[in-house]
Amino acid sequence: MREFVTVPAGDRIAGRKLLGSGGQGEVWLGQAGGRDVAVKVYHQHTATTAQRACIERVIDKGPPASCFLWPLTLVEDRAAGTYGYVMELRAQRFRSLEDFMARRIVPTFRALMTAAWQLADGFLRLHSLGLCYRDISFANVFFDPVDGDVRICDNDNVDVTGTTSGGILGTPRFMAPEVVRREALPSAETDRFSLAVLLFHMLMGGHPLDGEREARIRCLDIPALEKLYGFEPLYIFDPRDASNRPRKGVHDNPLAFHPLYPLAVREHFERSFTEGLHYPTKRVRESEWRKLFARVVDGIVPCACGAENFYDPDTYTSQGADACWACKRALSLPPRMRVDDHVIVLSRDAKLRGHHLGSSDDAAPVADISQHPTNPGQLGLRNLTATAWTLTRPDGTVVDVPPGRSAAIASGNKINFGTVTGEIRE
Amino acid sequence: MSGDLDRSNEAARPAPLPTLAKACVRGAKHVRDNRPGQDAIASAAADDLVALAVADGHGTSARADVGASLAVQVAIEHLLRFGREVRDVAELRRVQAYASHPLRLHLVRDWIDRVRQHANDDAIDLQIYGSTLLFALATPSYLLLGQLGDGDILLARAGGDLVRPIAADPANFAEETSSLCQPEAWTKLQVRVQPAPRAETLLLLSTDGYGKSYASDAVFEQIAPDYLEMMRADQPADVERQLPEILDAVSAGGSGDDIAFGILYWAAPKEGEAPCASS
Repeated sequence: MREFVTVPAGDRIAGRKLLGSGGQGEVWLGQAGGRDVAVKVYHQHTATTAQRACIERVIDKGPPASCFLWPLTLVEDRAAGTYGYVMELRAQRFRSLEDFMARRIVPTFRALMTAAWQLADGFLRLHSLGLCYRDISFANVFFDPVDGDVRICDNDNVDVTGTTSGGILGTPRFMAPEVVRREALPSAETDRFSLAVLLFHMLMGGHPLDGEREARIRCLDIPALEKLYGFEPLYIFDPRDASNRPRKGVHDNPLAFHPLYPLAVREHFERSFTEGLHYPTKRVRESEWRKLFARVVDGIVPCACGAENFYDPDTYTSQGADACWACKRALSLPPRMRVDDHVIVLSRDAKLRGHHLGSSDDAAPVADISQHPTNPGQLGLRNLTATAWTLTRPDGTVVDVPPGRSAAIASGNKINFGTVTGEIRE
Repeated sequence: MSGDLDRSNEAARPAPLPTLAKACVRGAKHVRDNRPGQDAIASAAADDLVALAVADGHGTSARADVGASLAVQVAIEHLLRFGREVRDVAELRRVQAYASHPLRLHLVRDWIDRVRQHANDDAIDLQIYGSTLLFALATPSYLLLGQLGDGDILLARAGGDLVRPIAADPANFAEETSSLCQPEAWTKLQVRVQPAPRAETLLLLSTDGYGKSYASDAVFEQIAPDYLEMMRADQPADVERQLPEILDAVSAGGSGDDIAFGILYWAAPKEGEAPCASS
């Protein structure tokens, strides 16, 4: 048991159970105001004045989005002569990216793309406040393998972009090359590199610079790592230099996954790790990742064999549907809905969120897929908002779709969602 | 890639190094069936570093004894190299990052290379050599722990605090366990870095033959205060002399399995004495 006192209110929080311990401090389960909370408390030697000032600034700013487990209140442990902060408890459903890499969890592509979208969205909101995260890596991101919901932890190192307070430059292998070379301090631009590395890991199951050159290193050699990730970085799928390709038997994941993704995904990574390696301003911006993953999530096509495939509207128009990557049989495309230039595949687990309808609130789905109660083969788009939509059928008849009711998914139907209109094609 | 700008984050002073005692016994069932022991243990102390590793070759694997033996050898070599290389890295989260990669990766790759050398066959089925691995590296600034597969790591402090620093891997269930022989095994090797103990602390590493000799984890964990008392009262060499007899009795009365068991002990700093790495 430990006791913490909130600053400045002076409320007491009993630390009931040690949840975890790391290099920087410990995390305790505590109770505040009748509910469970997490309390991070620093080891004495990490409880610096600069760190405390950093946390106070972070608390003052407030969370940029709900996916951040943000420091809420400063606390002191007067008996131990240290301090920490209160944050929301991370629910059990959120699992670490370490668990994902070790295949302890096997999320669907949909969950993975949703997590990627949420990460891009979260960091876009953080950066738009003039802040940078400084240490984007595996260790700080958790996600729900079922629905892709994300929680970003360890926000106590967040600070104004370009500052050195707290001294954190990042995690090896996730740091931007210019930070490894000590030519730059953490900023939104260096965060963008770390985010791209994280996304690459999530999608491809490996590091974008770990190819032939990495396979030749046989023991821990920090100068060799600095060369690999800082002084002479080379993308494993660089189109102009094939000398660092993934090695079969060593880097099998990127070799297997890279061809599965739509061309746009591969192009975004290529830009991140070719031009973006050397020119920070040319890195893929969070808004671009967000748009990309929204498109990719909406383009997931389930095959009858159970495998998820990615639908690319441009490829489909010119060449017809691809074969399933798993069973090699031709894919049967579900109905699609076009909203402006965006195509959403209306498969049974598709969901529409705020961004589909022009809103910035993506906390909860605004529509999902329902089955007709007496005709299970007839699918509908169920209105989960509080306002009615308008459905226009191909014959010109118009009906309201009140909250909780569904609009039939049928070719030629147009749904006016209020600010945007979607047209369904089969 | 030492990226820490604020050296005030550094632990102010080096922590003392632990003393060590260890033993490995052939399980009662193995003795009865005239089978070789398949657990292994190794340790080393050099350059202000103390490294300890235990491994449990899988009972169903034909060369599990060799696999376990190679595992502890490789682990000790890599841990000592890691400790020498990651000496001046100020921030423990960076030590953790280096332990996560490339230490885990190189250690497992090296084990695979040695297995292939031993078999003189690059296409050898690694399962024949399957083994778990648990290790600890004590340095003046950090304690690095690692675990792949089943077994127990207990950290006890005077006053009764006892923690398992590495969370149980759900893949270790009944007689199933994660193993060095699995594809991408390095991703399943869990590593944790924490500050070097500065108060009296006991670390126990054991293969699963010890823990499964008891009715429950809670009962098994009662061994920690007993060993704390032994290490406090006796010289490590005296404790080490007693260990084979204790472990034989545990195996005979419990799991019947081999047991590899090691202890690291950080004595309480004497009053008025500033602990230092060379003490």
